[in-house]
Amino acid sequence: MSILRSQVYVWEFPVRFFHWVNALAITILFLTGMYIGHPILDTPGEAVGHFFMGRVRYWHGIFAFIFMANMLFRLYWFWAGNEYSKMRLWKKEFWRDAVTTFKYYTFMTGEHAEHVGHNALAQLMYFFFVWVGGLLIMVTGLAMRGGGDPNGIIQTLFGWVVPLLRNEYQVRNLHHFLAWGYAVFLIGHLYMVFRQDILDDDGTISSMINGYKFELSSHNKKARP
Amino acid sequence: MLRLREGDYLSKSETYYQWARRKGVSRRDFFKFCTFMGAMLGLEATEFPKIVSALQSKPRLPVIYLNLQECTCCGESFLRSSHPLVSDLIFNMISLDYMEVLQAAAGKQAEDVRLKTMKDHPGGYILVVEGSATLGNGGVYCTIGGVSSTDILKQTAEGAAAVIAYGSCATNACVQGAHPNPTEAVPIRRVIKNKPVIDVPGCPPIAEVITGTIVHYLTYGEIPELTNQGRPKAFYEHRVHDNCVRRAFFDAGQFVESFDDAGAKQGWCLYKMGCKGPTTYNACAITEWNDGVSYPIKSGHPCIGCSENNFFDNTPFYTHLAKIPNNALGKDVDQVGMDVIGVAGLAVVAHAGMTAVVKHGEKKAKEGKD
Repeated sequence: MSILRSQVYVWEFPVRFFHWVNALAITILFLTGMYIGHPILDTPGEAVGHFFMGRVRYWHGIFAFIFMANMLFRLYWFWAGNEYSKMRLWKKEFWRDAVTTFKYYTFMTGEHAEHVGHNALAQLMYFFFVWVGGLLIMVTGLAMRGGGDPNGIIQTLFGWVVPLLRNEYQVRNLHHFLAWGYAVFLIGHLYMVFRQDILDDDGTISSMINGYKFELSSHNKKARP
Repeated sequence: MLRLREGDYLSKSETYYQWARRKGVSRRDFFKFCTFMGAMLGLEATEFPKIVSALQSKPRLPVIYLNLQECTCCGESFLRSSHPLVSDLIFNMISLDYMEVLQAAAGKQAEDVRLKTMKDHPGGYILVVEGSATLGNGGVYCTIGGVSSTDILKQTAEGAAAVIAYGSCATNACVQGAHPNPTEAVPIRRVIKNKPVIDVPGCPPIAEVITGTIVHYLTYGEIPELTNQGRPKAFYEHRVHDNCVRRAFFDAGQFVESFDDAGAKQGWCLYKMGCKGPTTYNACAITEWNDGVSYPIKSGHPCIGCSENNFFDNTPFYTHLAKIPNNALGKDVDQVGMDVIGVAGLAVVAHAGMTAVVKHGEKKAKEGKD
């Protein structure tokens, strides 16, 4: 089988930048957040000499705002970026592809349609775990931050969240729950990426560093641009 | 400031000041009260004369106090209001026309007083409600004089200028509203829709809020500014956690691990003992209780979040994360999270194994063909 490979520039720099900032922010947010929920380290001595929990909360806040800024930037890049940076849930082809990909992943068909970008199922995962989950975790997080400054701008903008969920306790519970969503997502994401790279040898993993993926030129270029 | 003597008044009913003087309150003490109220409402010093002139010129606002489905802990708290001047004035200064727990009258006489106040001051009395309304089976779970408490509430609220939902029962149905809520206890806000309702949650709540609200209403002709949860901002805008005496230990990362450990003796943070202070909006840490002696956290017990909606469903009280939902799973969010991670991990391993088997099969078949 002769394989002629052509390189395709898929992930533009802003997309890769977003990806790694996001990965870093989520990792730090998850770890600091879990520590805030379960402060396992003991600090001996007088309180006046320490600010450990305070510092953990401080960095949780810093990375929360980095995470939010990064997401807002990516939202802009959906509009400004190339074809592979877009998500079109309203297209008929998208849902047709979702069915095909689902069949492939459940071993009902042996081969899948070639995607240089994301397949529809991957995009759905991003949509639910990163975007919907991200929006909720941001809103719940901001609602809790806002409570510290009752007349501040954050409270003015997100003061409606606590009454909506009836009390701040449930806001925090939801915030915790969504954090676990990211952990579940990470497991699935890493598995799928490695699987794709191994099975199709298309450079999926390295593409997130250099932006290039390999197309199998023996395949017809499908309708997907 | 206007200096008034007895007999200067034109209004027919007695004003607060007249009443206070008649009762032997000195002018100095009257001013003290006005200043105290202004400070408690978080007003500027320049606003204090407005309070003085309002209390000097306006007739006493009649107050009807209803006890519905409740335990009277609010009333008890009310009686032990922290400032002696306040506790004195709360009962005397507001013209408390009807309160089952304290009034001498009973039966028909008592109800007549209520109806008379409603008739004489339409749209001009304050209704304080302690306890929740009940909707279950037509409200039969709480009746007073043969009438369901919910009907009494609706009837009395009709002519009220404003309604103060006093205590957690009235603001969020409290204990009786906990899952599964057999009597269908609901907050006052759910029944009274056409009147301003001021939520004063807590089990029990701070007594000063009532006088504060009445003074504010008299001075400005409107109810005080409310938070996003419908509570007077002057008392409920801050979290207990953010004003806690033990906050320094939280920030330092020093936590009590059990009620008799060295940290507990040092007065460290009760976060890991299940303290709900970080999610509870109340003034406990500022006003404190029993004449400013203490409040639960200061005394070594974690906050149970009694002023928050459905606090009784966020159990157990002594763990930091509550079990979800209403204890149906017997697990908290982080335990559920770990379980989901476990399932996802197993699914990945199974799928990877399946992939290996299928791909191996495909390879074999291809080799066979070649």
